Amino acid sequence: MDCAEITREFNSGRVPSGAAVAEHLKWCPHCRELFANAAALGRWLASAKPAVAAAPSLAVVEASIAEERGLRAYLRSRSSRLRIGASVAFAALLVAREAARGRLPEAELTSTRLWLLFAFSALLLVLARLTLLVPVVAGRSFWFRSVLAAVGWSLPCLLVFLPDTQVHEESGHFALRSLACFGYGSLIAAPWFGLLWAFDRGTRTDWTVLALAAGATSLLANLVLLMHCPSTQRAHLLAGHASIGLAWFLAVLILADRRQRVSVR
Amino acid sequence: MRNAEPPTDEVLMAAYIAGDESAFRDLFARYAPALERLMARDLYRPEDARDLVQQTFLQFHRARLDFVPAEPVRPWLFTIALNLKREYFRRRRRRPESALELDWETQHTAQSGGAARFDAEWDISRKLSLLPAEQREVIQLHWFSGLSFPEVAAALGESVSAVKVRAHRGYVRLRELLADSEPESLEPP
Repeated sequence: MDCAEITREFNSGRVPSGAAVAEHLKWCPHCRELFANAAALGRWLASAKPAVAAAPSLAVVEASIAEERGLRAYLRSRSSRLRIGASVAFAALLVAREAARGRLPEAELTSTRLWLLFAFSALLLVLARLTLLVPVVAGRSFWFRSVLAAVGWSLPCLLVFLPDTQVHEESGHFALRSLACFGYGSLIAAPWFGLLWAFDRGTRTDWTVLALAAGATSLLANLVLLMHCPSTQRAHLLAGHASIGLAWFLAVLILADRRQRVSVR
Repeated sequence: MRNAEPPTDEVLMAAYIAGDESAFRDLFARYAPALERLMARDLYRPEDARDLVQQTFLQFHRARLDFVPAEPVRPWLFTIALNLKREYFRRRRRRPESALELDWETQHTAQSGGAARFDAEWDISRKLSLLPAEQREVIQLHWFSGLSFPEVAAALGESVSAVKVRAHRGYVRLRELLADSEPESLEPP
């Protein structure tokens, strides 16, 4: 006799007894709790086993499954290994393309920049994986997800640790260059956000999932910009590069707010 | 004469992955009521419970290619259901409460066959709600969804011994609560 059989006996309205039960209780402390005080706990738990509730409609489920058509439905029903692999490959392709363009002089590849590249890449992998595995980790890791998303947005602020060239540019020039980097980084990483969204399986996409995707997208944009823009002027790095995370954060907040309003309606 | 045993969950799952829609219907028929009970125990509105069960099967469909053929289906399905349930409660805490609650009482009384049963269910739900979530989940899955401890462990992603420790702590706490309760709840069924 094992724990499951004892539970089944209680649930069928009988208090289990006999040599097999006595033998089991010798080494099973939690089943002993069920039998203490004239098996009060076991009988009590069994007494409240609910009758079969009204079953949900198979027709409704089949209808929702029938709606699973099109490219997005196809993408999100792929295996997690494939979804994660494809996302990472797409991101790697963007970075490799930027590296192949060779816009960055070799002299600019300082150890600080290389460390940043490494840190951004590592966190990017973690964020992409968590974003796509949310149905598995949901609930258990709400705060963990939120913290990781915040790290994704804020990590590009580490760019301030790059040695500052102390170049003083004219304000008009500075604004234009920052805007150009901001636009380039955002545009090049936006399809990746789209890909993460397409791969997401959530029935009601949670804002923390969007936040994770946005954090990952911001990291990818900054990773590409590290290979694209040789500037080490801190003000430019913050205004043109790290600000992408803030922009994505605001976009996600607006999107989540709109979704909530729609769902309340 | 051959004894025609019903196919196992794993055989049905393999058939479903291969495109056999009737296998999905069989799995639905096997597990929808158990999942409905799992959801309905903690949710105030029966329609929310049904909605979560429907979402569970939709997720089950979307994630079917993640299923590992060597693993059992039941804990996997309950993992999806538990995650959706946790997500529901997390969202609900953030949303303002509306006047939704208590159709539940009247509907459950009617469905479950009377006030005595409702009282017992209500009593156990109330006492279970006083347990920490990790102990409550183990007891609910084992007692009300019929999962063995290894299956509960697989559904929660924990070790069997950790699950048993949680059950034990939950039982000890429930016994304390029972000791404080009225004597009629201890009458034999």
